[in-house]
Amino acid sequence: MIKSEIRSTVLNSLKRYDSTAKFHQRVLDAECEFVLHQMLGEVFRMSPHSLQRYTKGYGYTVALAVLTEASTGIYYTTLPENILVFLDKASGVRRVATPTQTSIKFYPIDQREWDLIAYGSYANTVKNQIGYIVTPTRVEYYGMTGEVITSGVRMDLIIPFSEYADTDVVLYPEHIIGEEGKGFIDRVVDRLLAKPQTVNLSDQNKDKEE
Amino acid sequence: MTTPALISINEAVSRYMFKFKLPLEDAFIYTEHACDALRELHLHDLPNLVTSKVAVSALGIIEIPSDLIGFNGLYVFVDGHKWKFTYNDNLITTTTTTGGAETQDEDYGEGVAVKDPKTDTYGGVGGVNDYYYKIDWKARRIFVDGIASDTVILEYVSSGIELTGTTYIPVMALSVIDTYLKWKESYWIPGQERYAEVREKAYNDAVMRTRNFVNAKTYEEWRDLFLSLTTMAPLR
Repeated sequence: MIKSEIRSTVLNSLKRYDSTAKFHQRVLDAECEFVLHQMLGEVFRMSPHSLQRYTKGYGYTVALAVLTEASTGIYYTTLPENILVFLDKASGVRRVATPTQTSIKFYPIDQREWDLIAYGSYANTVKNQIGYIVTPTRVEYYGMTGEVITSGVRMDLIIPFSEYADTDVVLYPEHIIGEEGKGFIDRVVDRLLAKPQTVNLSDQNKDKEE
Repeated sequence: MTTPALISINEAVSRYMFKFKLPLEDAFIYTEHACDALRELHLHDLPNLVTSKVAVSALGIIEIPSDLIGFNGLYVFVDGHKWKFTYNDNLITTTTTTGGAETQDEDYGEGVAVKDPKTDTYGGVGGVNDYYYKIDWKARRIFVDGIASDTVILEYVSSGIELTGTTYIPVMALSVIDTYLKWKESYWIPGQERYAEVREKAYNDAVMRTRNFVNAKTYEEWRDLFLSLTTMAPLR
């Protein structure tokens, strides 16, 4: 379902106090974002590999640039969008690859491993294996090669609901049913019902978005 | 055309992670363990010796290559064959520094050529060699007798892990790598300690299978061995 359809479905599932009652789109989106992250977290707990189904690809048509931070010498790519955070090392960056499929592989690592690998490990000597560390704003690389710096990278990200365009398809885990048998839309509606909209009877909520 | 006999260590790790549905975030840990397994294979099971031409200095000293883990043999070239040096524990392995330069002081036996007592009567000392060596492991040097300012052949065992190129694993040893990784998981993945003993046995079994394969002789080798022990005689 595309994002605007999801919003519309949620909106039409809400109980209105009267025919002119209106809802903030941002409030709807915020609740959708919360529930989506929550449900993807449930997918992660069941099977981290399955998160790949909910990613959005970046750098497939134009590769994402690999840059060098002059002060530290760290190679990195700025995240093209905000990501959702998950508990494993890949977090919301489920996959990094070279633009065309090569023998060079990217594996998620963390800062602790970076420090340990760099000083005296055999793994440090193995070629064609690049570690990536996910930070809030960028992806840093360990073992970057000149070939990849030139070619750039592509990434599969799990992004928040708010980062999707209205025309983007938002994949949500509809097969995940909570204890009460409720899926994504039901959970969003439940959360909104618990927070009834304030109705301004004097101006019929004229200042509110629909 | 069939699959190659050598694969890179990355491929070995990828195959293992694929087969056992493991998370990519542990790839570097598995790579480290796979390198350990390969080093053990090189040290104890595989016949993958490094054969290298090394220089003997004017003082009769060979600097041990930095990647040498185990010494196998030292040879000179004789008529298209290699001639083995003999280990001599009594060689003098000290040097004397004179004017800042490393030299040898004959007063202390340094650099003095070994003189084997030779006799052609009963009670002789047995076989002797023109070439002897002794290893100073602390200084990582080999002191040789019988040759200086020349080049000899050094055979040794290395870790097999390349610093500059791709590290390869013979596929015949892949089951050893797999079982080693599975065994070591018992120590670093919480909750798997109880499998350690069973997995160690599986690893040892794989090692034995590989060792059998490596050391097995072909029919032709056995035939040559038997023929070499017989004496040809004319058939009348």
